[in-house]
Amino acid sequence: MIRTTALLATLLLASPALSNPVAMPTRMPAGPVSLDAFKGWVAVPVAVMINGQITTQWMLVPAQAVAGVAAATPAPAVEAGAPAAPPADPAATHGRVIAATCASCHGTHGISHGAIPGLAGLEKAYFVKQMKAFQDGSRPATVMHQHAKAYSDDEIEQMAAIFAAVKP
Amino acid sequence: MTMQRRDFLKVSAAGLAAAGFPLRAHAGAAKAKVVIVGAGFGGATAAKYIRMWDPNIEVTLIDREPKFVSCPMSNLVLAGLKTLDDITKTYDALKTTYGVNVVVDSVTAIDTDKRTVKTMNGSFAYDRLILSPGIDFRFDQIEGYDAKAQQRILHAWKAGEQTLKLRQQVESMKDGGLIVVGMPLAPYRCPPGPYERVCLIANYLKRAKPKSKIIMLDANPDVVSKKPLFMKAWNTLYSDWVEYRPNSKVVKVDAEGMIASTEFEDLKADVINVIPPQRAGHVAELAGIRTDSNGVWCPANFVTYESKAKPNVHVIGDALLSNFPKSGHMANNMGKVCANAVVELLNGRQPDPVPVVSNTCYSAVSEDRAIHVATVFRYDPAKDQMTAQPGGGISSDLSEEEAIYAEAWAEGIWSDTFL
Ligand SMILES: Cc1cc2nc3c(=O)[nH]c(=O)nc-3n(C[C@H](O)[C@H](O)[C@H](O)COP(=O)(O)OP(=O)(O)OC[C@H]3O[C@@H](n4cnc5c(N)ncnc54)[C@H](O)[C@@H]3O)c2cc1C
Repeated sequence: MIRTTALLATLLLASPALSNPVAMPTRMPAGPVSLDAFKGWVAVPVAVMINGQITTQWMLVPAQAVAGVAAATPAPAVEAGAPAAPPADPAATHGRVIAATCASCHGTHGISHGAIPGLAGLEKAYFVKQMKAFQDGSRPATVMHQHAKAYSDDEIEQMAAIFAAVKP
Repeated sequence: MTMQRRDFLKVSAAGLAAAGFPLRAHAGAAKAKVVIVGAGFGGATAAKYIRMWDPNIEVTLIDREPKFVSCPMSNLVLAGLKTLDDITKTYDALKTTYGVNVVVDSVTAIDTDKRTVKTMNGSFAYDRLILSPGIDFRFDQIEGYDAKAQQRILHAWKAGEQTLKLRQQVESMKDGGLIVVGMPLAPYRCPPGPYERVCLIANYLKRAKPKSKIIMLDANPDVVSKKPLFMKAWNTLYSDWVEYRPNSKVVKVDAEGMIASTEFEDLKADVINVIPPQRAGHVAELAGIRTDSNGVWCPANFVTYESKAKPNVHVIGDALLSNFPKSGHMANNMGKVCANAVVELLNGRQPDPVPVVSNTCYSAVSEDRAIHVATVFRYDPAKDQMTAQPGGGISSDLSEEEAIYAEAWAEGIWSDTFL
């Protein structure tokens, strides 16, 4: 499990490695972050302006990009069991839970164990496009047309980001 | 469908505060302890996902059985299309990969004030307790269905010994025999399960004992699940073998004379399989959470699955009072929502305020065809209920393609729950 702190984030924001963030998952838990689904990546918190309000968002960057900085300034580990700062967004974990519900058929982290297609590592735009195609019926299906209609555009984006970040 | 994101945030944040969600004040660096009773689809999933999402939480998972025998796919064992080995799973990966403390023991007492769970051989303290004990049978609702009768008239509604014994009864029956299957009023475990069973036993009779018959006595006024599809299977594949009788509750059994009785008739049969009415497993009673108006199911809130009767006690799976189908798929999904809520609460954060859970139940209707029903439920904070979302439905036909998916579904959910 990788943990980052605001201190580390501040340092990172000043670092040139971050001027081109590579991926941007929309919603992840604030506080300690378990990154099973994001091997090789670390999350750093950044302040973002949304609808005129400042909220904390998490940005994914490759682990190598921050390794040097992290080594130079070891992040103080969050004490086990210590209460974390309250999240800016109470729905921070909504994305990981809906993505986890896909796993009942598609396998944990979207890594499939049978004839049902895997979701792990699917390109984000492709995932979004397929879900839309299931919704409007342009991609025929036995069951996915029924599931897809239940999710909002925002939720589909969140699931897409989570599965795109998994190494199949 | 567009979600009014900011609106529901307002509502739910207020709701959580009003509900007085405890934010755990940690003393020192002691690890938070979660105890889970029942290592089936609900409990095992919750254990795995808590450890995945927060390895700092200590998870103890207690079940009286050393291995898990899956009810899903167990009807295929009755038809001779699968073995009990095929549907038996171990807890090894939960221990080694996820560091879950798996305890094989029977829970005998729960003290919700002192927050301890007692088993035959031990005692376990918890910060939060998750119960997924599945169902118990209400044999007392059917006259004559006593301990002795239960030796001969099986339910086979918990997979294992009973599944094998019912298979043996069906297999050793003479050709030309009669099998009676009785099923209870809804709600009961696995809405389509009894009808799948009738299809698969008929499938076996058609192949191996073509002069035999199966009569289904359904306590409900009509087929409860996937009606047009099951009717099609009976009418096209099994018209010489299956007779379906609605409004036919089994009220009495006679194991000596091998008679199943409804209010209208007595049926003498060679094999009688009666699935009794059910309620939440006894463990729920031990915790004092089986508190719906009939004392049968467990009311809980749909954001955290915390019992409405006892704080820090969560309940998921078949034991829950809800509009959900009592399925392994739902139990697995509730396991994840509950795992997330428990992780967030123990870390002093708010859980996902608008959980979404889904269900896909496949039923095999023959050796190479299957059907499904799919539903997604979303929490509606204004109504405080889980609402079935538009789009859900059933298969368009009996399908060979879906037989492949049905098999893959089982592999998927077993791996997601136990591996
Ligand atoms: C024939 C049949 C077919 C089915 N097919 C499907 C299907 O295709 N798809 C689907 O989604 N669902 C299916 N189901 C439904 C599914 O099996 C249940 O909904 C699911 O098992 C519920 O999960 P649970 O966690 O609530 O309970 P369970 O999975 O039953 O787990 C409860 C566990 O608690 C343990 N336990 C209980 N009391 C104690 C105690 N005192 N001490 C210690 N341990 C205890 C039990 O040993 C058990 O392992 C089927 C059911 C049947 C009977």
